[in-house]
Amino acid sequence: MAILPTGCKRQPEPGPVEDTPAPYVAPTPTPKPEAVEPAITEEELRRRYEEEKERTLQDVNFDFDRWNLSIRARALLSAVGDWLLSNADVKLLIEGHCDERGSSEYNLALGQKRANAAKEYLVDFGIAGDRLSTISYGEERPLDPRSTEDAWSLNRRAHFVVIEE
Amino acid sequence: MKDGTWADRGGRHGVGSRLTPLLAACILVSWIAAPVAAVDVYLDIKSSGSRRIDVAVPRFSTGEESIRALETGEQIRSILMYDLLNSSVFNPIDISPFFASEGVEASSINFKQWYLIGMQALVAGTFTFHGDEIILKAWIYDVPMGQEIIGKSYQGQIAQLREMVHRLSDEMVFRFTGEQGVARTRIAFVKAVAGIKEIMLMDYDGHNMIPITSDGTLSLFPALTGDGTRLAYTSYRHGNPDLLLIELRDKTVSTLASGGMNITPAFDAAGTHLAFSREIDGNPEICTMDLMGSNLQRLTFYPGIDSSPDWSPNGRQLVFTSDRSGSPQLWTMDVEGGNQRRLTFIGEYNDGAAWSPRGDRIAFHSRQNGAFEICLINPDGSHFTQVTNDLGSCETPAWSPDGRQLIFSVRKGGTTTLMRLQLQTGRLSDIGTPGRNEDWTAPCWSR
Repeated sequence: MAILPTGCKRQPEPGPVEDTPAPYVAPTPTPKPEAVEPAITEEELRRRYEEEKERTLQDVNFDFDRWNLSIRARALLSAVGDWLLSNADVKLLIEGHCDERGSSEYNLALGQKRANAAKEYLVDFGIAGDRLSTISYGEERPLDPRSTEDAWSLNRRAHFVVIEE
Repeated sequence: MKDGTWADRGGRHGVGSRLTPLLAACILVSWIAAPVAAVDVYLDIKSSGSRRIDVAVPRFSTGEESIRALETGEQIRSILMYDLLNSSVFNPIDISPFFASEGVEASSINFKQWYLIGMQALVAGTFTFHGDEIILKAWIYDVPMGQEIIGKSYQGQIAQLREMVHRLSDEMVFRFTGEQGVARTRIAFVKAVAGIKEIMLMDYDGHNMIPITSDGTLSLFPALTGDGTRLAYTSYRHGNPDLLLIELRDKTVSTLASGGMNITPAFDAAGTHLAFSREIDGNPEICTMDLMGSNLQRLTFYPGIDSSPDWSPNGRQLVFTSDRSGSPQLWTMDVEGGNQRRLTFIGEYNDGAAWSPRGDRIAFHSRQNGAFEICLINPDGSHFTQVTNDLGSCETPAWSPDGRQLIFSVRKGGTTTLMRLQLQTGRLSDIGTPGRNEDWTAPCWSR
């Protein structure tokens, strides 16, 4: 399984300077700027983590009245799976949403199926089921409130919320 | 008073038993005159087919000469006109401009005159103020026979006037059809403002609206018991779609089902069991349970969506929505889960089934040309009928307790309102008026 090398919980490479017992270290030239890496601050780590989180946790979209996962949806979910593997403390809530065109009763059930479809994929990917919870909002929480094709396709989605990290 | 006899003083009805949180006081109902010929129901005037009974309605009079008296008389006439018109039984005709000189007693009414212009019935009455109380007396007449059918007296607080007139209308419906009228029924629905949805309760005519929930979150799918004392709904107040039960008398809330998705409750006719859709093993499945949240029975086992159940009035069957054929369609089954069979084959998206109180029809919404229309079908799958056309997108039909009307939501031009359809006459009317930026949806009707 491909684990992204930038997994941010990973400790940075140990610095070459401090613990080295060799006496001939002293005359070596001052380290190049790259070697300053160990000085990465908590804030910088946090920033990278947040950046990657945002890049990874993209909404997975669905066809009208469908909850099956498209090829694009699977690719997005694989990236989420990778990220979850390298961020083992993270727990996700997966929200299932629908567009306004269905009826509100049926849409609530459909949203649940969408959230469950995303969860199932991630469990098959190797993520423990207890790290993933689901909820349906049906058509109650549209991302884009307009009544256009573009808005509807944005609103038919599984959305990820980090509830523990 | 007509004959001075109060044949039945046992007619005191506790209003408190009918969920009137605002009005604790009672309305005293009495006979002024017993029904003629000792029959309970006066069926001499037959309505043939969809023909309604033409009833003359004058302004109710009082001895008092005051603005208050004039306004009250007009108010009574207008409430009564509305009730009779929405009873599906009567065609009320305002004769107040022509009736002024006549009295309310049979001897002083010119029946021939009303008969010649086609009236079949006439209701006349008086009212008097006693402090903060009002006494309303009314007589119902058979115009062709020139005969009194019944006289009734209603006494209560002035604030209860609407309820008193509703009682009079229901009395008239009962005398002419033998059936219970709907003028004192209630409607629960969802009021949406800026993404917040709350359950509201109002009289069948849109008056006396009160909030039932104020959770500031999503409250969905209200269902009332037949007697109107309890309401079940799906609530997100604990961050998850749980099924809650509210005792309307004291607003006690109990949790019926939580964990996973619990939606679209429906009470059986007895009000002792609920059917709903619950997520089991990742799938929304139809379940039933009692009102303690116990004795959960799972009725469907299909790995897709099963939702929106409703009971047949005899409690032996359920109608529900399933996508097992590839699109949302109505299905029926026994209450034990057997004999699951597809009901609808017309329309690519059918949902929101409501079984009529008489058991002979099932109302639902069906997607036609991109919008929902209200349709009817027989429980055997025959007689598919579309009953709305281009009003907007019509969803979630609910039956009036007498089975003569449907209420549903209509989305048009960015707002959603509630409308009522009289099935026999095709008459459509709005119920209540949503405020600015409000959407009213998911109506349900108490019996």
